[in-house]
Amino acid sequence: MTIETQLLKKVAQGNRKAFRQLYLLYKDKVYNTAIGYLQNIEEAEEITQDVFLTIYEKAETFRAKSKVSTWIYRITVNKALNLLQKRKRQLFSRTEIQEFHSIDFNHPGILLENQEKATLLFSVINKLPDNQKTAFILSYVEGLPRQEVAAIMQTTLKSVESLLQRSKKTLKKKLISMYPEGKLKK
Amino acid sequence: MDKKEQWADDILHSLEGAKRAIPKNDLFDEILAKIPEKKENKIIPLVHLTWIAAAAVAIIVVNVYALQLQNTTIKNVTESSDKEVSLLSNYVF
Repeated sequence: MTIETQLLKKVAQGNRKAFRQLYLLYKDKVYNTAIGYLQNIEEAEEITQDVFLTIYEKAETFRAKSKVSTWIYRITVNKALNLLQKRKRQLFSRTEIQEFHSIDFNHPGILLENQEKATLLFSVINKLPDNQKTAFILSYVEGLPRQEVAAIMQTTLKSVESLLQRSKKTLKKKLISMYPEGKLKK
Repeated sequence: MDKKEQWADDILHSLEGAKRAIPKNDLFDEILAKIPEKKENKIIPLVHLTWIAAAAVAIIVVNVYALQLQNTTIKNVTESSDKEVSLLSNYVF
């Protein structure tokens, strides 16, 4: 039995010390994944809170069929996608949605020299379909191995690779359409 | 590869070398504040379980005793009614 599984068992019994240890192990992973989807600090914090509350409440339902990390990532992905859906429903018009996406987001972990480019990249990641977005964020923002991404998404390795290929193709196409010709000519 | 493609590729690689974003320090306290106290009582303490078991045993013992008592009473009543019948039938002096 892994340390995480033991911790989760203790959490299921209401052990707050074990819950704190589990939080310390996973807080950055959960928060960073959430920020990849939501590109908003407050919402990423909200999701992190929500994920850990769910872990605390549902710890006893964990059956060790998958790794604890896979289970936690799955909860995070689902909550983030649900919040994106909720956001979409709340922003009624297409213009409102476009305005929301055009707000520049600076990921706190990106190297300073890459900030501007990453901001542009995040703005197009937003426009990907959910499954491509998940494969891209888990692989390139969170840096998980393809096998774990497949486990989280409950799909095959081949399918993840295909999703990544498609997502990169879509992103490139969208980026090329945004090429700032005027600015670069100056 | 033309300029546009090169530019798009540069952007696609802009996440390389990025560090994980870290949540604020007091986030855990905010999570703890939202946790209901109920969970602490979900596990029944052993002392309580012992009391529950003792009470269950006591109830069973009382029931078995009551059942035995009832059986004995029925037996006695049957025996006495048998005697009454024989007394009644033996009325010739």
